[in-house]
Amino acid sequence: MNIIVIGCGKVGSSLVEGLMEENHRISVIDINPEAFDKLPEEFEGTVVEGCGFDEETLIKAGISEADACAIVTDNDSANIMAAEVARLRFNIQKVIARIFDPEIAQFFSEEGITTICPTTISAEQVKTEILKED
Amino acid sequence: MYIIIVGGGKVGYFLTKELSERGQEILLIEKNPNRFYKISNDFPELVIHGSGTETHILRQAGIGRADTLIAVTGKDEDNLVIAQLAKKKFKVPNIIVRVNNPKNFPIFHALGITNCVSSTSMILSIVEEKLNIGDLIPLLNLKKGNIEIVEIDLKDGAPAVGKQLSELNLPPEKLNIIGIIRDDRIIFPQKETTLLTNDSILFLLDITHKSLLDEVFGLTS
Repeated sequence: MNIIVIGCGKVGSSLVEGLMEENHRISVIDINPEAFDKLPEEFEGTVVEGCGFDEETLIKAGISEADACAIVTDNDSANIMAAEVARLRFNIQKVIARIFDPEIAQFFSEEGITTICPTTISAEQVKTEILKED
Repeated sequence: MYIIIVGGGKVGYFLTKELSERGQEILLIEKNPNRFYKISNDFPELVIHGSGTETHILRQAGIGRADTLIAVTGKDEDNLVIAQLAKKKFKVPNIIVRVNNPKNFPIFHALGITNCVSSTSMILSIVEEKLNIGDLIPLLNLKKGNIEIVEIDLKDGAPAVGKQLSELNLPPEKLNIIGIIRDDRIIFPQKETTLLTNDSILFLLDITHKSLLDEVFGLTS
């Protein structure tokens, strides 16, 4: 698969490492070029410095050939905007966005974006641990 | 009308001031604590502290009964989220959005948010007019950005000068002449109206047919 990863923070760079193991073609976008230092040395994909919802940046990152877009910056609004640009302007079907705010995650998943909400996931997992029988 | 404004920067601040002076019911939402503090000194009852991207803040602001929501933060991504929440989740009838980077217009339009204002675009239009960089001056975007009202100023020597409107062969299903401004007077266009140098012609145009204007008016842009 040709995959675009937007946001090269801790999650973004870990995601890239994981995807590399499955031999996918990866492009990474980040607004801060130093973020690319987190990528493993063996990374052979493309890096593009720029804003993930800017159409020119996405085109540079190869969005016209992309099969999927993973959007994992630390800003919910930026992630939503990038997801919508990928879906509506470039017709990418598989668009996944990490969204911290549970209500925003819920609302936009109803609008057709696959959202992963660490807040909800963490709360549920901690709850499970706390309620475990000793 | 109950109007909620998100973003207490210069635009939001002066909008709040103007609209409340005109007797409208306003609430401003501002997330920066320092800005909030300053604004609440000037308009104590008109501002709440919080982020307009958070639904509990929007509910606190009474978004359920708002007639208009204006998103004028400095970040297009926030304005996009706020506008969508207001329009689709809370069904606010009127949404007005500030778009800071004109390159972001298409995604707003694609999501059905059509009342978008970019001061950059507006000033660009004026600069283009003053520098004569482009002959076509876009005045207003309508209907998902494909329909525009544009202005052409007829310069000396333009091919259309001296011709009657009926001679120009402009297909009415592609563009409509709304009016002609001549010497500060409005002229209602008739088939026999003859175009003169310095006439400003206002068109309602589907921009996919912009090239028609190039052909008829010999535009240089």
